[in-house]
Amino acid sequence: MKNKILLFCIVTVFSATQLVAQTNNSGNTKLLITGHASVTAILDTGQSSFTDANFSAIFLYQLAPKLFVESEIEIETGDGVADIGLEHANLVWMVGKNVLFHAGRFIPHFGMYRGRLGEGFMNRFASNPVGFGDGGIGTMEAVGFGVQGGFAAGCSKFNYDGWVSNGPQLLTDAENTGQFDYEAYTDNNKNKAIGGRIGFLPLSNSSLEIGASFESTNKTGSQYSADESVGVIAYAVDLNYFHMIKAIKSTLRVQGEFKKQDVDKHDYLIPDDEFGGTYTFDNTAQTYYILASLRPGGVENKVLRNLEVALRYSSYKTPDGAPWAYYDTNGKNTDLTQTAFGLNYWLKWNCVAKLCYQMQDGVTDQVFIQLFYGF
Amino acid sequence: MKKVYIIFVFILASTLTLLNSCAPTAMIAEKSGAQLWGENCNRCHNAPSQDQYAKEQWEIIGTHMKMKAGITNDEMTKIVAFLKGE
Repeated sequence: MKNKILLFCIVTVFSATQLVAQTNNSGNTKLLITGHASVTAILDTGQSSFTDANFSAIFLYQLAPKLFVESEIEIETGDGVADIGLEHANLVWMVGKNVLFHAGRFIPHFGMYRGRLGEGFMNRFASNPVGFGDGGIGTMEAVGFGVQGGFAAGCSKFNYDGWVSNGPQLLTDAENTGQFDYEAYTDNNKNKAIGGRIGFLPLSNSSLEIGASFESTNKTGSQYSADESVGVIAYAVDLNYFHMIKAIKSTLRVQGEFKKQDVDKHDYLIPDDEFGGTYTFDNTAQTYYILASLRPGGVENKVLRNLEVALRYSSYKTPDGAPWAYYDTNGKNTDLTQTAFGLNYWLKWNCVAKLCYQMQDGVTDQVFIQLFYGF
Repeated sequence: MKKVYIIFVFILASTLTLLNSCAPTAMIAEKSGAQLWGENCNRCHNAPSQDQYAKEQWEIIGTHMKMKAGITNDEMTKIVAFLKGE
């Protein structure tokens, strides 16, 4: 039934957009092609290479006052080949002033890092905090539909986002047992995930936003498999604050997010075990990061006002017994931590050169140099 | 579990409806587009200047930001008007 509702919603929105496109011959359809490009170099004791060059094209179509399409195609080269992916293709219908219905492939507002503060020229660093990038936890991209919006209430503001999607897919390969694929294009079972976020901006100048998110699904394994009924529930709280400190003519930013993921207890097959043995572990993981940056944007010196210093600390607690868990040199399952220092130079409001020094457990210290252009 | 979902969605919808019925204060309602531009764009990134995009493009970006950052419809309308120089 849920599949039929999902299909109906997608077809309805798509048909509506097609209808407008066909009848709108007067040239009223508005299009903006935007996007971003970046190149990153990593220096450490083992390498000094340009590791990654990425390009993303974002297509924004305003088909009618109430119909909107946003899509992003990303080309990444970090894995040695040009990896082309559809980041999102989201069809939006503005039902009311503060109510937007959307369907397609989209980035759910689960926390604030993914899809917002961690993206492009909003990320003060060239890397992700531990637990927030590849191999991390929490939903990243979804295929389904949702409702979102924002409204003022007194001196405060709220924004909300709720979605129904295919949900994460349980991984059972030897290296990733108990982890999830959060970016799958297709579904692996009939069950759907439900998620949402509420953002609260208590201050009248909108300088502080606090958010709470969740996502839950009862089934994440492949249909009819022994793993099908493994459910997962994830929570997140996030914070974003900025303030102009007049005394030093500088803008202070403080950001942070905490995520936790609880997965149902399950017996997983031991890889290559001829007797079909199983093992299990308490599959609970959590991660957080906190970031602060300071930019003296109000001073007269042109060089100084384009500089920004940043500091970030992140921690990732992986489940003991999981093949992807982190163990220190003593073989103990400890929190994986990362500390990063950044010095950025803003060439334009959306173009930045980043220099970062990063210390992370289990790897040698690294220097990241990144040039990022938004356009 | 389904009951929990239904109850949660009902409470959430009721709360949001109730909050949405609260009118913004006069101070909030009277904010100019320039002020809202400075306050809202800077929440996540440096605020772009008016000459970065053409007038029609600002309208598209306004809708995009409504999706991305959850700004209200009134804020979007005023910010776009300011960026278009109206």
